[in-house]
Amino acid sequence: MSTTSIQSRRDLFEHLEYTIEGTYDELVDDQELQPGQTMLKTFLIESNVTPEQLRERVDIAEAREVDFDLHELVIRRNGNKHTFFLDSSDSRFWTLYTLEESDDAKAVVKDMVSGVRNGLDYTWMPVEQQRDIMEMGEFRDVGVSYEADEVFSSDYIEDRLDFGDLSVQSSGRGTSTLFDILDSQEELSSFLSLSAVGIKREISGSFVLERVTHNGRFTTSGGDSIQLHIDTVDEIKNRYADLLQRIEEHHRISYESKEHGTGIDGTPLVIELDNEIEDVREFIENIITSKNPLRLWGAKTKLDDQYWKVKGIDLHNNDKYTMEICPEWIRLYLDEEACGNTALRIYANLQRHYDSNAVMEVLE
Amino acid sequence: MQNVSDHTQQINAWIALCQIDRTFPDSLRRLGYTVDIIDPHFFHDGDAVNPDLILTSRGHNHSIVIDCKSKTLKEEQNEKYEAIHHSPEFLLTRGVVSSAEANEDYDAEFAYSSFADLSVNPFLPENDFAVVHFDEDAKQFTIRTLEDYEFNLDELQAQFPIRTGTRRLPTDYFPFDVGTSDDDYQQFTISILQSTVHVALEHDTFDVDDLLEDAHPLWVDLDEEMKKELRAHTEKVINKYQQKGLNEHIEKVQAGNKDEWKAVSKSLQALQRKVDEFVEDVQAELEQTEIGDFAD
Repeated sequence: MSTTSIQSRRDLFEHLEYTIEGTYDELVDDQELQPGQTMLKTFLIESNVTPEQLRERVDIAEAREVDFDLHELVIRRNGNKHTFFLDSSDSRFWTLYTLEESDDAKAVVKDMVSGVRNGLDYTWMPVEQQRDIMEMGEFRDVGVSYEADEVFSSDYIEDRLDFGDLSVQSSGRGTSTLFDILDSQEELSSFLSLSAVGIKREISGSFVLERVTHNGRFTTSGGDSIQLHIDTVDEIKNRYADLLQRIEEHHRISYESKEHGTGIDGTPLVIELDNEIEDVREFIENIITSKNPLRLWGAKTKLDDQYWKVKGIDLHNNDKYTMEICPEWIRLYLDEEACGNTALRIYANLQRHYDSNAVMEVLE
Repeated sequence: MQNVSDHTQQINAWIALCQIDRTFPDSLRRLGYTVDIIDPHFFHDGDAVNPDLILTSRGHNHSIVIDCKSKTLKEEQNEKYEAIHHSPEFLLTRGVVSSAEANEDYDAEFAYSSFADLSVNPFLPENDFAVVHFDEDAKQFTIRTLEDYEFNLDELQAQFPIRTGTRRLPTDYFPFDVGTSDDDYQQFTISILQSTVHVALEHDTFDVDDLLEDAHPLWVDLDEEMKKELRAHTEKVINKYQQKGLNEHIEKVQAGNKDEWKAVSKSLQALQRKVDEFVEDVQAELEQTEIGDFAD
């Protein structure tokens, strides 16, 4: 795409608004986009690094400062170049805008967040936050995608789980009813892991059509107000940021050296499971593989036959974590410097790949 | 519970009683108790005193000074603790307790805590200490005070017996007992492995002090003798890990007259596959080592 005319935030947003109006017109008229025409993709990224440090982590062919805290980045991948606009005005939650093809955009962002100790991560939306998104507008579509096979071995799935994967995509009239019916089935409820929710949001005569995934990717299939899109992203970001802040405020264990001994502050997080673990040792061996999506390295010890302890490292930020696991719950201790996103990655991925009814209470 | 000493379990349980945790009762937190200090050390009447922790409720202006025991009690310890019990204000005036109001209403009580039944112990003192017994059955612990050894503060005593509802106590507020407790070897060895991976990814080079500071929250407050012992333990552990294959991840480098290490690979997927073997082998070899051997 030609972006030389974009010299400010305002230019960028005008360009993006033009795009979302165009995609909507094409989709309404022809139900498909013109060749080369793409939808706006917006990625919400959790960051513990600066935009300058990002350059060490991705292959940037060109970078240009467009406006204060807004950079155009041309990122090289497999010999191709992909254009993104990085808005880092919120230093903890970056917004990346792109009009690249969906698969390319996802692959670039995946490369960006997947390195060891690279300080970047997806925003991992727990099911509760995804359900809140459904309430933000008229419910349009839903993706249910339970993918135990991304985390658990085929033997584990065969022996211990009712589903290896379960995928349901629905849009249009009746979607809401279909989802309510599925949700009310007790034997299914642990496996109804939301992968994406779609809404039409209308405020004061303006509208946007948004599809929001479990890991913070917004695809805007139409609308007439880029400002409403930005506002939608911001609202969802603020809810996520609030959750993250509460985790970091209350649930990191810190110690303070005093003249006569050591003080302690903070309390662990507890994830309560609806889908009880049949064999805790096997379960642990499947979740601490150092691989995506959990990215947990660890060593385990047995406390009793069905109570085990894991001490390890989150490869996202090189933060230490400890988990105590029994069939009914997981107790998660975060180190005092740990990134709260570690807890949300573990929690949201357990909901997505093991038990969508898992509950983690975070103190207010 | 396996692989964690009774002493470490007790310390963790007392801390957990002051926390919000849906898997464990928060009986003391509801009375306002917080963990004022872990591993306090101070002097009183010319004696060094070193109980395990002090819990303080600002609302009740009251502290509980706890010594977690196995089965044995010593007369000399009873005398030290009795002196504290009868002059609690010195905990404030010396600055040992920091979470209480410094006024004449402040009170502190001393308590022995044990998994064993101390009522049969010949050295159980005849004074008004509290003595707390962690009584375990198939489903849970019942934390009860022994008859004639109850807490003086009525609201506190009214909490007992506390039923945990689970035998699965928290274990990581205080991850392993420093010193030579055999039951905590496994927690010690995996804590050192965890810290080795953590520190190696964080620093260009590191030594055993870096690992110990990372692995145990109380490291900086330990006395020099204890530090010396733990350094020797850690040298053994990390050398064993290296022999088992951790040398693919870290290598020893020369740094004057002390050993240092640095990371040579950040690929932890390969390391993950060997971790169980590492921990089991190193643990087994260390258990066969006499404690005195660590001093060499």
